[in-house]
Amino acid sequence: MISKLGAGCALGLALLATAAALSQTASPESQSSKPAPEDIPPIRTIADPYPAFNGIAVDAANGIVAMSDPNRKSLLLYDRIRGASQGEASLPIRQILGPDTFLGMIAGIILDPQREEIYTANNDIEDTVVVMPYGASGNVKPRRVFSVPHQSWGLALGNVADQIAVTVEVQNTIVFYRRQVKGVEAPVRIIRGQATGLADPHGIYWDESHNEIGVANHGNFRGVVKNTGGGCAPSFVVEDEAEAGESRPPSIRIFAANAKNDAKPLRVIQGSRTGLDWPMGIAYDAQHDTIVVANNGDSSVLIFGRNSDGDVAPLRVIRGDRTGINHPMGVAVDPQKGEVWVSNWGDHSALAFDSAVRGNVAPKRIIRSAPAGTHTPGFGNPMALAYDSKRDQLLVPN
Amino acid sequence: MSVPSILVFARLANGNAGPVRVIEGQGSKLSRTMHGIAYDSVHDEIIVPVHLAGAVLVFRAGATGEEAPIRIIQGPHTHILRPETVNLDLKNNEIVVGEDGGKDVMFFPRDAHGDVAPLRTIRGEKTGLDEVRGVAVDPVRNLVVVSSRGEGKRTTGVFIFNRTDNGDVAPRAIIAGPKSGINRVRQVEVEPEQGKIFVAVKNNAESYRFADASPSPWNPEKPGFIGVWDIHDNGDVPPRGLIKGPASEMVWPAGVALNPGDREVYTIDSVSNGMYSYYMPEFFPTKKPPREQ
Repeated sequence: MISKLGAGCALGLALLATAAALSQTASPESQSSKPAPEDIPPIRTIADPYPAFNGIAVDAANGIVAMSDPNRKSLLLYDRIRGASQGEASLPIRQILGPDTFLGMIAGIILDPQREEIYTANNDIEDTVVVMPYGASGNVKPRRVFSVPHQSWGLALGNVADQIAVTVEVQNTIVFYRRQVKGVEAPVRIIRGQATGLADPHGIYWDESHNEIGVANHGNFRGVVKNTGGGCAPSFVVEDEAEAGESRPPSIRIFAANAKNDAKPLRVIQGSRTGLDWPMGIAYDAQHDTIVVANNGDSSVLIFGRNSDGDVAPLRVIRGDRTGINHPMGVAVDPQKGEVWVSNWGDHSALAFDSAVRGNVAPKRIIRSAPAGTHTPGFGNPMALAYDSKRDQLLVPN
Repeated sequence: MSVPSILVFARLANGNAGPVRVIEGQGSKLSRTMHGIAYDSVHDEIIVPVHLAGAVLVFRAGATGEEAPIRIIQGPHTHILRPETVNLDLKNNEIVVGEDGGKDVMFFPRDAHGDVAPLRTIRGEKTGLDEVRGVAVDPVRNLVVVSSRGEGKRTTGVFIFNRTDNGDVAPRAIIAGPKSGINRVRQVEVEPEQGKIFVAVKNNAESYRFADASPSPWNPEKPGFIGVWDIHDNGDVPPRGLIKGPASEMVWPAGVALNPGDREVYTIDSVSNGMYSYYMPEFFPTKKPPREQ
């Protein structure tokens, strides 16, 4: 099995493999060999052979848009001005995948145009951030790997501070490392505590023009993690002291860029008027002085004024059947072309919109990791299932 | 990991199929790390643990979209902090909750709602439990089966308790050891008629050796399997039934579900992000009546 998996990766398993391969019930090798009695092929298999986009990042200076793919465990780099035509899958400039890459259940992604480096967070299993050079392709070792807490999701780079910020879901924390971090290093600072209001943080942006950091929160909370090792080591340790779980409203919390410890946010966007619904990726649009949010729960992109505070409605919303937005995970701003990019978890696609648009508008360009209309099973590191005998259905929690 | 959701597939779906419906969105109160799920065939409900909000949610089984749960067990009196897994005891009308951080198993009334205390809790040094990954009840023999991942020198294996045990009690039996093949365990199910335990033996090595490309999803040191044991097994016992190997396509199976009526076993694999169905008449020798319609 190991060699089979490895060989598959080396051959570019994720490079637009055909769905037909998945419908096979056994590989040719296994059919020709003499398998053990317990080595039984499945009668049915559901899996997605195509890359599924999670995070997205744009480097306008170098003309690329990059996506993280936790399904096939790869990074994909595309030409940012070329979209798919006729619904075909887009050809990436490069795809990084394979056992040497350290890429696994990756989530957030950022690009460092100055040093031409790609950062992506292994959210689960590996608990690392992988740093790849732009030129990496195929099954290559990363330039650097550094350890981060379990369930790290969002990444942001502060060039002036020369730090990288990492959100950590389970620890309700933002952890900052020096940019050149490698291996296991203690963070230079942490934002964590009751006053922060952090609760299951996801996307994060670093607005250096206003010295602010913005974080999207889902609102799941079960106490502040107090263990001293949290955030600086590959720690799975969470406090044993029982604190009650809570399901808080989602929010966008804006902190001073140099905040630390139990800092109060400068502003909080939260409440029923906001329309926030599982906010995932988040970005700052300097051209419009707005905050752009991938609103996964209702398949929309919300745009708030940078200074929005409290229970406020977004300035603009991009939503509707013409947009193609389908369970967005990431957003990125291209200041040169005046565009907002959106990565879809639900549709093997990334969409480029004019950054000033609102409403139900079609994207300017589409990058597809699979032909248009391809089904998306939607698995993301699933760990359990159940059988519904009444409906003859299988239930899978992600 | 990527999007918290409950994906629902037709049993006969095959290939790159999409779900027929999805429970998702802020109103659902779901979070990531839902490592258990149970279907209540009597009351037609779905039960899931919500790890990041310290809650157990109950949905209508036909729920779809951003539908709110019909009941929530959450709050300081529940003592639920890190619910990893859930299951049902329909004979005794109880929900069973297993926690990894709490290293415990808690029993709640099936219709519990709000900040309610558990009826019983199995927790303590004598239990041998560490990070609980799976729970299942054998109502015929009045037993509860618990899969637990032990840190360090603690035991990783399948622990069997009396169903009514409460407090710091030793298990009746532990299935663990090299012959068992268990290195890491996840979801468990019981087929009470035969007295069989089905275990998703994931066998992934944990991470945290950042400088080494292995372990990682790319390099599983020991591929996992679905193992079947007798409910009366104890000690370092090899599985009595297995699904394992390259043809099975599973790498790190994390979940297991049973459909005795169609003589099928299902698993979900967190490496391939795939779901696999196996026809296993030898595991279900007795022909079952057709499914409810």
